[in-house]
Amino acid sequence: MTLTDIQLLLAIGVVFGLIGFLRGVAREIITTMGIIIAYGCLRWGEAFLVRWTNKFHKVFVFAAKGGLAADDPTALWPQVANLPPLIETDAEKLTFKLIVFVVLVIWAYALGSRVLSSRKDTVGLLAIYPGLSLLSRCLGLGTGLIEGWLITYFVLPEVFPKRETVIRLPTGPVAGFLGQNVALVIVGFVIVLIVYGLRSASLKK
Amino acid sequence: MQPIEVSWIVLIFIFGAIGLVRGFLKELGVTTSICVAMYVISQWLEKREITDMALGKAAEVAPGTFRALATDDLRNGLFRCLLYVLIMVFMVFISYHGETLTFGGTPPKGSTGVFFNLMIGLLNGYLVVGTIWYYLDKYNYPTRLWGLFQEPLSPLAQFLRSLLLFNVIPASFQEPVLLLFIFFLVTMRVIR
Repeated sequence: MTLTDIQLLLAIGVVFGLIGFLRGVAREIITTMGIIIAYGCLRWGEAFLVRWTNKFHKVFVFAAKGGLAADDPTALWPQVANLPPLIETDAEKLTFKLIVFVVLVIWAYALGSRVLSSRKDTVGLLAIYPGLSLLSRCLGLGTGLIEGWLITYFVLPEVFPKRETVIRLPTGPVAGFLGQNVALVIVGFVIVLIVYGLRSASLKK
Repeated sequence: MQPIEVSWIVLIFIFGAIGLVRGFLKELGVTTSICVAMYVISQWLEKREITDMALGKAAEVAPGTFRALATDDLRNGLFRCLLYVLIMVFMVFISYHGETLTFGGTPPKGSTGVFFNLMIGLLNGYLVVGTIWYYLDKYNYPTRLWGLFQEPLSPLAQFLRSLLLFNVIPASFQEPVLLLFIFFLVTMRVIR
């Protein structure tokens, strides 16, 4: 299977743009903030998260083997302490990072819907929020595209560090395109924030 | 002495706090004047070399005072950075002090209002402090003449430096992006 970089970017844009259009700008801004926080957590907190996940894994194994209720917990602890870490190799770290990122992104989407909960109609997997203005939907579309960019910008270099994979996914050009447009994304997000902020402000003194 | 990234983050949060107090609409006026200051500094004083021309003329008129500023790279950088800081402070001051650029109306209320107030304050901080850091970095931290800089930059500082606006926008796009953004803000002001 061969995908061109344009097809790949178009597919990402359509999916996230459509979600943004259906959910409206307010929910999408909350989700975008969540995605940025998820990115920051994994960018700077990876070592911390891996270290504490490994520690909690050992505590969990200790508890599961009955260490907490044992007459002499110190007898079991050396066995648990000598276990290999749950996350050790690069592949395991990558899987862990992606799982955490996906969980945080899903949480960000859920948070957006939860904070601004209202009646929604569902069509298959899609949730459509009725009653939103066209401006809100268009701003949501723009924010959705920014979210798609952010998610792809994080995931693509992690999952496909080489320029092509066996399914001939042109990740090199796509990653290059994403990297060249950081400024546009920042400016775009700021414009969405300003327009939505002005729309939310009252004209009365 | 604090690492530069700590000062940068703290200052941005101070701007965020100011945004929370002053409100979204007033801060948006400040954003406009900050963008104008950024345009003047990056496109006129730097790109069109007005600072160089002014320093050259000053060195001809009063060589004793200005020769070192025109020829010594570090002193030249220090002079430029101080000038740009003064311009930024001046523009921020007049926009904080005046009402002309303030957007009319009442800012959003409740948690939405807090969110927008904070975001616009943080944006202003990012623009002001980021611009100052960018020129300090461009001129090799001339504040080292006063013992106010220690090398090397930490990995976090290097990463944050790559996110500064003038490092993110390619040089050829800086002028159109700034002009279009100022045009956008003025248009929104007029529409309201």
